[in-house]
Amino acid sequence: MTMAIVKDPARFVETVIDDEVVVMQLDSGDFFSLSGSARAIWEAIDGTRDEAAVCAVLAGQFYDADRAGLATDVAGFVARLRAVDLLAA
Amino acid sequence: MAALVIARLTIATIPLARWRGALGRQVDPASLAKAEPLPGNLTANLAARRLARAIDRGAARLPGETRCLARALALHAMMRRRRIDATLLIGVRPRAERGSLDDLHAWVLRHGETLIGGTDTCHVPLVGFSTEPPTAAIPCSGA
Repeated sequence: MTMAIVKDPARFVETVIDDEVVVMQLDSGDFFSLSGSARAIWEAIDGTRDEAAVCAVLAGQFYDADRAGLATDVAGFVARLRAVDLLAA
Repeated sequence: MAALVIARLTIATIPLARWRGALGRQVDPASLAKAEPLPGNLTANLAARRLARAIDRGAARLPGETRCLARALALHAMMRRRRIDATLLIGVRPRAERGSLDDLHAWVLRHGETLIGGTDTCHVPLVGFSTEPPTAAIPCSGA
């Protein structure tokens, strides 16, 4: 069983503006604009789901996406979130 | 002028994590949006406006561009030194209005009044750092 993906709320602030989520990393001051599938992944990361569960949520939202491609996208996005210190260790 | 130079150097060389604690407590701009502006101390309000004008004049004289965050940081520091409360906000333009260097913006409020960094367009505040008592600000950089 894989670990749940957990955000680290002490390291960022976020706000919803129209159709996007804007995230500011508080250590670096970097901003990230998340929309479309990136926003869907971000919102699916609720602290209880692992990558497979996040993929399952997305598959329910993006019906035409193939599961293998979805898994690759989610893994890549999660790795990026980890690289910019938005996730708990 | 010195405050502006220090602010520019700080932003350019030190990660936000190292100096954001000095700006006061982190506040959620959404909570500020519901707050009623407070009248504040009139002498302190006048001093704050004078400092803001001095920062803008100093920024105009410095070589190179002194952007909004450096101005806001310098003003916030000068006010803090004089024990005048303030809130520094950092915000972003809605996506439909983006496309310039001003997509991200910083401004300083005192009791709901924008002291520095007022703009024609509204930036949605993302985070604030405040030394003001709770319940004293407005949410937008627009006049």
